[in-house]
Amino acid sequence: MNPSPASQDTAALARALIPPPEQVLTMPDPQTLLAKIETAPGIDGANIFPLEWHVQTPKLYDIYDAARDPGWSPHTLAWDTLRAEDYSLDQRYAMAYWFSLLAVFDGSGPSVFARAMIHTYESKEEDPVRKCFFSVVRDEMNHEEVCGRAIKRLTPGGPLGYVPETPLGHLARNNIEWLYYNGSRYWTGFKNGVDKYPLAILFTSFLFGEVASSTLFHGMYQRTTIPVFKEAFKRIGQDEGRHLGICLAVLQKLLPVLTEDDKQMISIQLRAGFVFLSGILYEPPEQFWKLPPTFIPAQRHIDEVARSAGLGILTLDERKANWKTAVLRMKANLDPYGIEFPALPEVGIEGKEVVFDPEKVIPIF
Amino acid sequence: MSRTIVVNEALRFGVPEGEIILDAALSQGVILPHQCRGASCGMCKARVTQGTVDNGWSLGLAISDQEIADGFCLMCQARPSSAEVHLSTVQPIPGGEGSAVQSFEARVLCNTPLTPRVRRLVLQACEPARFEAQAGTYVELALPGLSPHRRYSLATVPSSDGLIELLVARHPGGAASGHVHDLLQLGDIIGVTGPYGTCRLPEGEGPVLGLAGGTGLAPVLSIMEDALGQGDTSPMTLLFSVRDDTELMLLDRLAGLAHAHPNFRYALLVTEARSRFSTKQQYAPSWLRENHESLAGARAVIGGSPGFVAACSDTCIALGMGSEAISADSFTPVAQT
Repeated sequence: MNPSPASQDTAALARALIPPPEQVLTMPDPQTLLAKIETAPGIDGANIFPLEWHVQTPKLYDIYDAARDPGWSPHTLAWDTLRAEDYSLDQRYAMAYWFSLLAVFDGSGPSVFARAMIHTYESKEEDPVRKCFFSVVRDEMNHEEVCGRAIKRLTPGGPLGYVPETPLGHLARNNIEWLYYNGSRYWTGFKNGVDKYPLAILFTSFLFGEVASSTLFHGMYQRTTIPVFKEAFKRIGQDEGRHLGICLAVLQKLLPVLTEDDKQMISIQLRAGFVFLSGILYEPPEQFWKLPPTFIPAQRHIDEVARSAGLGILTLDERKANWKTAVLRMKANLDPYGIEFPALPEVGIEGKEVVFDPEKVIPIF
Repeated sequence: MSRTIVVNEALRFGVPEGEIILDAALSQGVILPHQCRGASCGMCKARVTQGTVDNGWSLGLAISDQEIADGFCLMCQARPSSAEVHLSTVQPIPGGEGSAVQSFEARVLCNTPLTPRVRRLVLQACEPARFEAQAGTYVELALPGLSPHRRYSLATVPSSDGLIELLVARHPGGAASGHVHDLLQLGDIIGVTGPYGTCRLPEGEGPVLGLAGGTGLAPVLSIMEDALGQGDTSPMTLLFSVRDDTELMLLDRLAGLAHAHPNFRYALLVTEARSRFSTKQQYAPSWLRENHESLAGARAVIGGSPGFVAACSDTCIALGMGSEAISADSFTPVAQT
């Protein structure tokens, strides 16, 4: 039987085979290699390497596991029920302004916590702490998205890419520019500060931010009459509750073993936090906030208009009372650990006189 | 030194010195109601009925100073400060105390009509399953060729013999209820999963109102019967609302309870026809307003359609009942979801 054409081709290919240049038939002797090894150079501090996954607080893993699915997503909220045409121009400007104000805090969340998360890697924090920060970054991204969607829906092109058609709109826009200016100063201070502090101080500041946001969103959730915002504030409030849980789990371990220096620094941080967070919980104090004389009168006017639209803005007196209550509760919970609370005369709280240092602002939403 | 925690007089576990109650429970696989673990949501609130706790962190959103003074705590922050602490949770324990969700096969023992629309279905768990559940829970039935599984509230608390009693109403176009009514035979084997659900007798000492619409009678009667059987002496009134006399059912059980327990009474309400059991046609909210100037301090268990539950719940709150004093089991036919 004659070979088929295909067989001939195979045979020709086999004859044309060329072996590789050299094959390693024996492995080097490990003992020989061991005698020649060089030690790796040292790694500079504040580096994410060497990687490791140590666990000191298993509870944080549980909280992280519970946060894997946040149970909601901004894009599934009922945005179609928020119709710009249902509101006057001023009401639209005022509500968009409030979300721009929220976004100075909440919108900075992803960047701020992402930066802090890198810090936890560089400072070799335990694995579940790093993972919890990851979940907080994700949550803050959702909160920022809510702000963005609300602004875009109420003022297409907003917060700055539109031309206001009313005096209040112009006031709102000017205020937003000032808010962004102060936000940029906060970001610079945060970047300079975040790497300097030990975990206890960072988390006390974060805790203050979470206390503030829980207070704020709880009040707005209760008060707003706009369905999509009611659900959004409720969901955001639930996320903030989880963040509180993270802060408390870390601090319950750290607070009992604070050094005296740590305690003094926390007192300073609390004052800084109060000043910064008052920008949204009450009214922005002068120590940090560089604002023009028109800012606060304009904001008060905008508050009234946003309130008339049903956004759930508390009155100034209500905000002051809420903020004072939240701060007092923070104080009551830190007192047992020997942390002197700073004087906060703005809301009538006596305490240790500490100097506000804008370079040391950490608080975060 | 370890402290002992007893929750709802059913769950018992140890808490190492200095440890938070919820943390200790979860680390031992004991599931308690909770969500944020940050003193913010209030899901883990409980009343300290015996012993003392250190309340730990409190932000005030989830628990007020007054509630702390009244003996409540948040299990996510509290540490036991006495050797033994007894707690009574505000929210029901997921799955019920000591009753884990199970999937098993059960045999049909009884499938008889109670009314033209409702059949009484009794199942018995096949070996080796031993089904335990609390009053107010529901199970999912896996009926042949039907997906998703259908949910039915328990009409009685399963006893040690493993009997599961359900009330199944026929819904227009309802594949599952149609199967139960027309095809399910004695001796058939069907899949059961459960227990599920959080409808329970609300904590407290005030009088209890049971508000049942149609087959919503199942969870309400189950809960009240169970409480009476355990010696609860709270005044209890069960209002059973139906559209006409032909929908009335289980009157022998209601009468038996009223005979055996002086603190239990029931009323029948017919909404859409003349009735020999009711002097006038009336809806439950109207009956509530007519018979109660105030429901402050009272508690309610409500079972029925979403509309019935919402209307009754709103009326109870309008009459001064606290929202935390209301527990409800609402059913929605699958065809309507």
